[in-house]
Amino acid sequence: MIKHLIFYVLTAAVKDKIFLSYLALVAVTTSLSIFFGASSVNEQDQFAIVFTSGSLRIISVFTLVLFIVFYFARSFENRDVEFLFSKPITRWQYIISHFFAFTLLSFLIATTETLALMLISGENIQYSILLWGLSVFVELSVISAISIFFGIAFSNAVSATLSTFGFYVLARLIGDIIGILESGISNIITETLGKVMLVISFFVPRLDLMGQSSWLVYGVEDFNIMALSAQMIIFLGLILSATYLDLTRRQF
Amino acid sequence: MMILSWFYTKDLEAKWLNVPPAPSLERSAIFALGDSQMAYRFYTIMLQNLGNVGGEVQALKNYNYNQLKDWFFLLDQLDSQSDAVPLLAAYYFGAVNDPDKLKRVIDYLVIVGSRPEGEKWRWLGHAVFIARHVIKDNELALDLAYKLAANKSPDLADWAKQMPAFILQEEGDTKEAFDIMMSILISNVDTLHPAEINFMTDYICNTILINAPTIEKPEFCD
Repeated sequence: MIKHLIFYVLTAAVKDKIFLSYLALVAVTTSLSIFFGASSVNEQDQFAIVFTSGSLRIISVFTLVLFIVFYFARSFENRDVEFLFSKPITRWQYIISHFFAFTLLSFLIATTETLALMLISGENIQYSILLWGLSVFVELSVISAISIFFGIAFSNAVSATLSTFGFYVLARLIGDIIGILESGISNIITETLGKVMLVISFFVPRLDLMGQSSWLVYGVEDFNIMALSAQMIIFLGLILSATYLDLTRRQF
Repeated sequence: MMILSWFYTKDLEAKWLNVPPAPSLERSAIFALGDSQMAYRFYTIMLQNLGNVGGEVQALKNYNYNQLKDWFFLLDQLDSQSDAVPLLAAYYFGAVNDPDKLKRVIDYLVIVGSRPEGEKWRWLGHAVFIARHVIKDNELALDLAYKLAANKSPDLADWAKQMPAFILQEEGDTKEAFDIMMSILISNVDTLHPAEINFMTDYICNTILINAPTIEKPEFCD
């Protein structure tokens, strides 16, 4: 049944023309990044690859989040979910099969980005690009799980999209936020807010440490892939469990 | 109403607000979603195109170099390996004629150029050039030249080691210039390129010693 559900989700992706639209976006973004990189007076190649990687990551997150959230909104509107639960499928199987399908989609997106970067880069940093692609895949998998959670928790697609993007921005900026907190707190209100943010940071994955553009310019230096992977796996377990709890309490 | 409002808005044009204040290091990468390299590259392009607003191009003399210096140091913290900003500072922003503004550029080039990695010393060499030939402050140039000659980079060029001697010679301190050139020549005679040795002996005999009868001429000058 899980296999059929994965195929069902991928068919929905094909029908939504995700792959074609994404390929077109990659082509346009890469071309524009090369163009803007070339406007620099020196280090044009480095500028191009950094602009390409940064913008490709943003559009891949947009593509994935919009597809997942609107997929669930449509499923609830058309009562596809109720139809599926009338079949011999548990709620846990439903979540896991969707997560696998979106992870597969994340893998395809990350692979396309990696190939685009390999195409425009020099030959001496291929290992860095592969590691960058791998970490972007992990980042997209985490975003998929968050999108599933908000897509199921909120019936409204707009709320779910904004919440997912909000969480993504928080996860990307949590390192900077902690840095700002440590750089000096001036009054009682900001001190309290700082403590609140510190508690929140316990539950937010450090996505800012994944897929860093500096790897593509200078190679990978200090990156503890084991520690970060462990954090991502724990977070995935947490968010998928929360999604399961939400789905079991939901009345159809 | 639209036409009436047009009479008010038709003369409002995009204004250049000079160099914006640089953000703190902690806040600098926020717009790039925590990607400091992306922030570095974006800000560098921004600095490069800073004065080009609304179809008008500002002269460098109009730039606020104090703010610009803050940007240089911020970008240096975001990426100290890249040469994109040192190049902009030296060859673009260093093209202004105002000595006060140029000293802001020199402050930055000294920090970057004092690093032993790679060929960063070239930026200190450019700072010496600005101090000596543009600002015409030989005291500052000599101070920078000593820093350049003391750089630990194994790739440091011979001319960079000789730089204090060139400035001292121009200042009239021929004895000190002579000692420096002789010291470099004697201690590196086995490794120096023959063309470099020829240049140094020629400089010692025909430039330094030409107006210094009190200094004993070495044998190779005879």
